[in-house]
Amino acid sequence: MLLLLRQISIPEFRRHLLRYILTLLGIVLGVAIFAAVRSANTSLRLALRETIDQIAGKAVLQVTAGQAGVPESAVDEARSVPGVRAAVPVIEAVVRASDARQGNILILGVDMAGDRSMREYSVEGEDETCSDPLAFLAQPNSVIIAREFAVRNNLKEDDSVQLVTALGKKNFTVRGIMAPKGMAKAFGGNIGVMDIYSAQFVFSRGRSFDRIDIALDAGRKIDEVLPLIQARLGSGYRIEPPLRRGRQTESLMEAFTQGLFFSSVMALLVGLFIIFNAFSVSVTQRRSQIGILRALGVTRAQVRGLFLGESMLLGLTGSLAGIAAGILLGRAMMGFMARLAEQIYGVRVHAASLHLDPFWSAVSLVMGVGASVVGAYLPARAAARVDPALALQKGKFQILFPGENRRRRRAGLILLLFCIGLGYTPWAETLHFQLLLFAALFVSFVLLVPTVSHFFAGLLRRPMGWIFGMEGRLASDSLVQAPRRTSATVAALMFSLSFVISVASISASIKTSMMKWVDFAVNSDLFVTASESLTARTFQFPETIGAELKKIPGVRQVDSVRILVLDYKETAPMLISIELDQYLRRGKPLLEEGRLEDLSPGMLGKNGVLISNNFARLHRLRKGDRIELDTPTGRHEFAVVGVQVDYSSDNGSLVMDREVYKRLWRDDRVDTFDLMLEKGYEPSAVRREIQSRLAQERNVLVLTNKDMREEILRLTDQFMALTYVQLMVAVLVAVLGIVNSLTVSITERKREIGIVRALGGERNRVRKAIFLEAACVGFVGVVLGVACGSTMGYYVVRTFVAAVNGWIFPYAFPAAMSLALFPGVLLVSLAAAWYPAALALKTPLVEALAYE
Amino acid sequence: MLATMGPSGSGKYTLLNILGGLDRPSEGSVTIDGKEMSGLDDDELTRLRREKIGFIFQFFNLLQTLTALENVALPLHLAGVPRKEARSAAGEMLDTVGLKERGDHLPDELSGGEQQRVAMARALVLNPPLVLADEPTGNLDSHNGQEVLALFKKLQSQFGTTVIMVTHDSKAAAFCNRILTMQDGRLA
Repeated sequence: MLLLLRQISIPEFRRHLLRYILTLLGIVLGVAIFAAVRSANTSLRLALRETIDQIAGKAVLQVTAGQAGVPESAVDEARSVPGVRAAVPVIEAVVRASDARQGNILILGVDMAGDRSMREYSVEGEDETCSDPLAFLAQPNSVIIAREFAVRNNLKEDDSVQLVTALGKKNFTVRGIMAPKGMAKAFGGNIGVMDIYSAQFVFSRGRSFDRIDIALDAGRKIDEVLPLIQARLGSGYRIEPPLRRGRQTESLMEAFTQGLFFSSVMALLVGLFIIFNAFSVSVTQRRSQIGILRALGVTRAQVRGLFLGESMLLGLTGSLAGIAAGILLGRAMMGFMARLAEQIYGVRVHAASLHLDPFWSAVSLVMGVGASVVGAYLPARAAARVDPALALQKGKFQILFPGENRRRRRAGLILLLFCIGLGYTPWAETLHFQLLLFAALFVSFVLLVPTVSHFFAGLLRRPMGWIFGMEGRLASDSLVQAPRRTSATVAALMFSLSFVISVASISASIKTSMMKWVDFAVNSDLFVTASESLTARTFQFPETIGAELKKIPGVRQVDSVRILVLDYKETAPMLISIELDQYLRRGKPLLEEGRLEDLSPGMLGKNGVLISNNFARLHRLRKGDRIELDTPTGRHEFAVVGVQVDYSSDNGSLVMDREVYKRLWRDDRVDTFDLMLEKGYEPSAVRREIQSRLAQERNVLVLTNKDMREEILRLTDQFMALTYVQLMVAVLVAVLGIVNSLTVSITERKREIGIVRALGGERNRVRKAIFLEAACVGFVGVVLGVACGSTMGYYVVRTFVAAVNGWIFPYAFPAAMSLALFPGVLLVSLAAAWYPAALALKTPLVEALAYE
Repeated sequence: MLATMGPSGSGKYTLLNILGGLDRPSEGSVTIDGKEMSGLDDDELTRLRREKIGFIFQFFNLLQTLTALENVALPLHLAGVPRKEARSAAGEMLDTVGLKERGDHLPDELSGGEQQRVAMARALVLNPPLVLADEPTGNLDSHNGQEVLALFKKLQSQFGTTVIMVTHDSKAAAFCNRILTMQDGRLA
């Protein structure tokens, strides 16, 4: 076999180098995206775990109570549990330095007296502690920073660094520089430490901490002590090892890699089809070679093995190149995903370098080789069945038997109807079944392409003759009379373009629904927030700020909104608490289940929640169901009073009355105040007044209704950024599909082109006919691609997207993208046809006539 | 009708290709119907081929995706003849070679002899002064070969065409008025 590969396959690759390079680019692209996404995801996950691990120090358990924080009293409670050696409070906040060049810094608020038993502090210049510990404790505006941050920003001891806090921009004095070991390496070395009570004050934590870190007595096991701590503190607290805490963030990041995983699978599928096309043509062209080999004693199995061996070689080369490309792409992807995670979910992760996971690299390799071998399997089987006697007779072509086409058409129709029917069954709600149906739908279109493309090619015959004369006739005749070649090329185009349209459908559907919802949901005149980002809610206001805002002339109503991210059944839904009676006065929720008149009686002061449609779908909940939530005051049951349309979070949302929240979560802080103004008052004027009254002492961001809509739409665009990346991938794959198929198709016609030239067809006329044929193929490909893509897009939007995040968006047809495809694809088809046509026309006639 | 014979490598195919403008000589000149070929560019050569020369190949070289009628009509299309006229003329030519009823069949549905007759019809449909035939009976059994040669003779005298044939078959050569023998690239 190796001999055959060396003596037959390698010269074959050399002879058709361009064709094989184009063929394996499909594999390269699919593998590159897959490897890049997985590497980026792994790197960010590792960076997150590393930060958690480095900061955790000797802590084996951490106590949290969600984003509401842990009350001060819980620290002493935890300390008193037998087996607990140390229990220290911690506040952790990622804040921005005022100087944008300095970037973000993770500030750890710790109790300096007790924290040295938990974490290693090596302050440079001193063995034990910073030069003046009492000064550090006594002065609230002190901070010690990691050496890396200090060097990068040219800071030394006693220098000042200005940070954005809940109380506005504050200057902090650098009291010490930490040597780069242990905790000081966390968050890429962008870390600082301050006194915990200072941190409470400047980061508006009230009388709470973010968590308690616990170390155990020597010889005590986690399994023994954890239940004791839980029993002492109550069920409203989560007690877990430090790395488990990062789980929620990891699951948030995992959500959007699924979309890119879908893209990489689609790219590989199209790559598989390109391989199938290329090998089908190769088998046809090498028929006489196969005949000779068989005549010389090579068995059918060896012939099959030869072609499969070639596909494995291609797959291996493509996969290795793809992994290498994936490393480059992964670096860019990592930065992109980290920025998205911060902007969409408020999660800040700092990853210095890309981690190439050997496991995922191996999976990428297997996927690339697998796709290549699967794509080449049917042509290899056909090669093994070539009759050597027939193959050695020059001038004989294999034809597609009419019966074969009928069977394909029948099978394709049955499969298509079957898929559509199954889409309405209850199984269709599970993600894995969705993927199976999607693949089956794909196969049904594969089977129907020859029939449909032949039909469209026939429709073009007359118009082509009328408009373009003889060249048009030649072009369209060629399309109609070569159904196998036409359908193969059209199929490759169709799949590539349907991928583009599917992704564009997702984008159009989501954006259309989001914009309609924003119009309805964003109905306050002003929004006053303590954090600079709507998603990274680093700071909160004390409740009393609401009363101050109410006093401002022009302010009619002030709603206090507190938003937490919960940990509910391995998902991270949003809990939104608001003064319910005021909320219902200013706007009516769009209900999918329940009645407006039932909301107040069920929720006002009571344990009732209004859940979002996607939360309901993800957790199979309906109005009237009951759910349990863990709070700092224990586990409580809540009644589902209604289901509303809400796109706040792809993990779902729950709305609760503020009084209930304050009572159960013991948290009266506010993230955002929503203001309604009296008639006649200009929002911009009231905004100025708010800023002048509050900005001196607090970090305040005031947005008008227009600003808020724009910000939400910007966040939507960020969320959709991944879809746009998928779209770019889809377009790249489409271009590759077009170029590859037309190259193969035109190369295959060298002999035909030679015959026409021998009979008196001038180069320009033949070239024009080739270009017209390419344009026709492009046109038919776009029509079928839009039709197929819309169908698959509808399917993806209504089922796949729903299975991932619970939202069922009304389908919106991507009209702009579909229209843009026509001129785009025609241009690409013509450009793709240019080089192979030039090569074919340049071939000496004698050689072309002898071309087989 | 002229037959060119000679052993393999004697240059007879090269001679045919040069005469037909499919290949260019390294030296010397070829004049067809008063037109000297060496000075012509590719398009002029192509037009000359279309107007003045018909080709018949050993392996027929019919376009597999066109029917017999469409194959015969192709040179007419290339010459700019309107579609209806082209189909009519092609039909008449197919009738001449006895294949009127087989016009709608694809080459793979025709026997070897029938395919060669279609090729002859295609070569003659524009009534060229010169027809070049490369082993016209090389891929046919003796019965079909005889039929094709007889048809050749008939058409040649009917249309007054000059036929230059390359052949190994002495029976085919016997149909010709003159036989040239080539050896080592020269006329012997």
